[in-house]
Amino acid sequence: MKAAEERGGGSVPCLLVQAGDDLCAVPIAVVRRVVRALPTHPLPGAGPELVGLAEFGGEPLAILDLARLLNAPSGAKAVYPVTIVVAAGSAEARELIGLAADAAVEIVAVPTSGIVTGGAGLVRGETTIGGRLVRIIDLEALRASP
Amino acid sequence: MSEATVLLLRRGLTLWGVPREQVVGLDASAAGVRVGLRSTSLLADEVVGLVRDLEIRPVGAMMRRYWQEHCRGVAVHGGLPLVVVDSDHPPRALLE
Repeated sequence: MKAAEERGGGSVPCLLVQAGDDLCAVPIAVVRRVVRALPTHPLPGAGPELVGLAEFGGEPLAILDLARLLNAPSGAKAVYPVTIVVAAGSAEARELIGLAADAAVEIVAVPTSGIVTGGAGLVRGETTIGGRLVRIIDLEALRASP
Repeated sequence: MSEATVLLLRRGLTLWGVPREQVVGLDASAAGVRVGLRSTSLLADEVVGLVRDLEIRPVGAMMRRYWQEHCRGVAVHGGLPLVVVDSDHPPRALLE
């Protein structure tokens, strides 16, 4: 990871999410809903990151395994697993996706001055909150070509 | 978004829709139901029903990134999500 630190006095409101042993921050701006883990139907031939298809609000919703996306070590079995429904893309090409996670923890304001940018793929950067390492999620990375 | 009348099939835990106009025959056997298309045939565990004017949504970039099978899109019927098959490129799961 590059040691380029974002400067500035602002903060980004984020939903802290437990995914395996990792804690990550999903910007509130992209979160549409947090619901109890949606039942999924597998898609044969899908990569391990894609849990399957679910129904949400009468629409099909692809569900991705957030811990797998982050390569996070498996944690203890979640007591109340959740699906975080998020939106990415421009207004003209908005795409909803579900992130299967172990828990939605709390909403926090992540100071931008504390974010160390860099990393690859889904992780835009890292910071520490309450002494714990938190990975900042960038959903737009999932829309780009692999 | 598009609409189509589809034959609903179940294979394992997954629901599939096949555009009705592509279906040329059905043949039940011990292995399941063989659905004849113009150019090939599919194998399903059962035919669930026929759905008229099903609203089909294109597969988004994030889903496509982790599932590269061709399809016409995805939909929901009766509270259950399904994949609508592209009959020119049927998913391998229905050919086996």
